[in-house]
Amino acid sequence: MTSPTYPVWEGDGGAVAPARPTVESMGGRLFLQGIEFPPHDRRRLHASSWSQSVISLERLCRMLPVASIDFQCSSLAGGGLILNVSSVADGVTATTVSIASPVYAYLYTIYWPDGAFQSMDLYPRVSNASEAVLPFGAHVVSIASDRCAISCYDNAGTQNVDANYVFNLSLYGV
Amino acid sequence: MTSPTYPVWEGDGGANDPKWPDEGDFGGLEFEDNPNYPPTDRKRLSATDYMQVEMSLARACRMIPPLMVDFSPGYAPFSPDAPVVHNVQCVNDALTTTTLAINRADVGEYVISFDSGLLPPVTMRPRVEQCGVSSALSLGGYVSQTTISGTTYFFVTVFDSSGAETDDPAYSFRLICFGE
Repeated sequence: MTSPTYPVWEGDGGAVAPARPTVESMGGRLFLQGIEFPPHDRRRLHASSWSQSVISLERLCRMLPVASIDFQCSSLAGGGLILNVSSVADGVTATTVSIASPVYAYLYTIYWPDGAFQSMDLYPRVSNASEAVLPFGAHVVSIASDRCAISCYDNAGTQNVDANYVFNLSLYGV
Repeated sequence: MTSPTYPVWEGDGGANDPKWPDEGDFGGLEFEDNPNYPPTDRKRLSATDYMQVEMSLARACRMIPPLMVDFSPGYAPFSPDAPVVHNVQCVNDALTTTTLAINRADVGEYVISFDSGLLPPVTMRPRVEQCGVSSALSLGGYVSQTTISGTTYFFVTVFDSSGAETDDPAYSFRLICFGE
């Protein structure tokens, strides 16, 4: 049995959903040295070294956000701009992530390709990424498999924004 | 194809700049099983096993901050009366608390600087957040970044709980950089 041929972060686009990499997806922990020619120095990979590395990688993946999205506010409803996107999924980029604020200028919904990530039961996080201004902050109003609604506040603590406000949304999977 | 002999996070100090690791740095995606003795069970590493690790690792590396700096403000009459860098965590061993400088520019305004060329491209917006133990909640801060004449600068402004820019060393903040 071999590992999947597709990045497990992305799934196979069909029956296999995106998931966080695990030790099992990277070959498991049952590796053994060759019996006849076991590695006898550090020039050859040892089975235990390999297992240790994949365990470490699995734990690393546990701590990471699956996406990090910088977005800029607008002083008018209907505005907003996606600035930067970093993600474990190649299909989630600044061109496939969108933003909308159809009702209020301070209330934004960010959209990403549905099914791009595993279940996001862990809370997302919004933080200030502005360069020269300090909004009061922002919080997540709701989240679904393909979107997240965020309410933003100015430095008076009022639901209000201007075009200089930039926030970062970080999404985390289970 | 073999991997570079230096950490790609750091570059080789010459023609190869620091960069975000990718599958090519881990050996590429053209590994094949031995055609005569392919692995037939999970006790032997297969080519796809290793390439899966490469892909997962490359994507994971995209998401981590290459630099985190914990610091506190400081200016008279507070004590200490100068800003302090408490901790530095960086993908480059060369960037430490002794190779990075912090200076006060004005009330609540601090400049963190170090030689450029030590980090992979940090194209995403940097952040500054309150961290550590404090008796009051800070409103945090904001930060901008630039590189001038071989030095990378982070211009940080930090605030106390009332929203006033602060030099109070009772607060600690973390500068976090990201790439893309």
